Amino acid sequence: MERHVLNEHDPALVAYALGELEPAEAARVARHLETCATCREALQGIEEALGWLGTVVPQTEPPAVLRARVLAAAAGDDRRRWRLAWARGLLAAAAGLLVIALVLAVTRADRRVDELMIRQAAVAAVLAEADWSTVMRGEAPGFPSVVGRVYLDREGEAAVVALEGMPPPERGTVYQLWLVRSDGQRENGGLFVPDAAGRVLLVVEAQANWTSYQGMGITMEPAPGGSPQPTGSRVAGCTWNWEAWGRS
Amino acid sequence: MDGDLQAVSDSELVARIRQRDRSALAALYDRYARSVYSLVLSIVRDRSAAEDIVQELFVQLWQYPDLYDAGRGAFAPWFLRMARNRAIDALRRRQRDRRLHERLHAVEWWTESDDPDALTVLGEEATRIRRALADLASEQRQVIELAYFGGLTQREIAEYLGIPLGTVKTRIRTALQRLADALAREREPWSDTY
Repeated sequence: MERHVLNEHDPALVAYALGELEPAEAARVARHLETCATCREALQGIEEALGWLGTVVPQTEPPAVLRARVLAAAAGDDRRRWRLAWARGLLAAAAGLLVIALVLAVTRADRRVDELMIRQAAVAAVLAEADWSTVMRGEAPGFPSVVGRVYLDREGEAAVVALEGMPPPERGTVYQLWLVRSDGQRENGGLFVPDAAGRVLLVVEAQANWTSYQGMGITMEPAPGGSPQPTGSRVAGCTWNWEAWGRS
Repeated sequence: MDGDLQAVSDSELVARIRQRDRSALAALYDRYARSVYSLVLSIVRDRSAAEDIVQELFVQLWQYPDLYDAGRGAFAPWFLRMARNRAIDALRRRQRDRRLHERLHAVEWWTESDDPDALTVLGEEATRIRRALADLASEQRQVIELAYFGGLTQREIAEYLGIPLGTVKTRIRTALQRLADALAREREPWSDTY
């Protein structure tokens, strides 16, 4: 069998496999992996070793009741899926397809599968509840006129933001999402870096329900921590008006 | 129970989960719950937290079986890696405010007196990696232990051991290379080993 050689192509590969890199650095390694077969093979060797390493601990039998808990939870999940499938119409179906496409993209960009699963579960939960969606528009040179969509439940506090065609942030910066409250105050909505194809999938948690907000904006802010309030110019965003929506 | 699934491969069981076959989930649980629970427990050191994590792992496998890509390797190491990452995340959340030395605990390694049947269940790779780990130099085993079970970053290990970051990186890379070699050697003749 071929020997997986850990070479110096990318010294961050081990840190990447151990899941200890900051998102921007992990995205950089992911981009390198997309084009470097040697590193992909090396990573596979590391990941396999890290997996089997998990077997060297003393073996303990889990409590018998855990098996029943797992199977009951799986059955509960089936019932919930069935209800949601009937309760939610076109929006969920269309958004579901989007998630499949984007999650596949993110899978390649972010090898921390466990984090991905949590994120995917969160995305699915938000989309299942979403009753409203709007377009996120590019507002700076070099950005597409439409960069993506926002999906949210007006009575809830979570939203999914799905973007495509985002250029990489300028050197030394990350993108930061701002939630614009009805009184004009900006609230931090999170930091992100697009994958190699310019795609982003975010679950955003607001501090109040969405009727207290009038839109979202995206700026570039210093990496890795972002800013408490926007300092860069706005590159994309969306605005909504619930009163006008209510009258229509 | 599920006797007819005993000869079915892991990846076939995952394929059946995609068809919403709950007996396939039960079969994978019967195969791996013990090793996954043992790994998670040895990291989080809390039975109730370990049970919650194991439940979450299997339920998410049920919800998102597509995340396992059979083309990228065997199921067991993938699932164990996921379990390790989840346990480390839980550990880091719980220990965020503690000082570095307070976060560490001694890892118990498997000893010869442990049940040999458990190794048989896990396959030849489990035996091979255990031997390879035993063959590592102690300073290499130490950094692997701190990174893999303690969830320390390479920078934190350097700080904890009072050695340069470059040395930590070299030790971890060398150790992982040896472990990966030991797993990859299965079809090579003995004369090629050292």
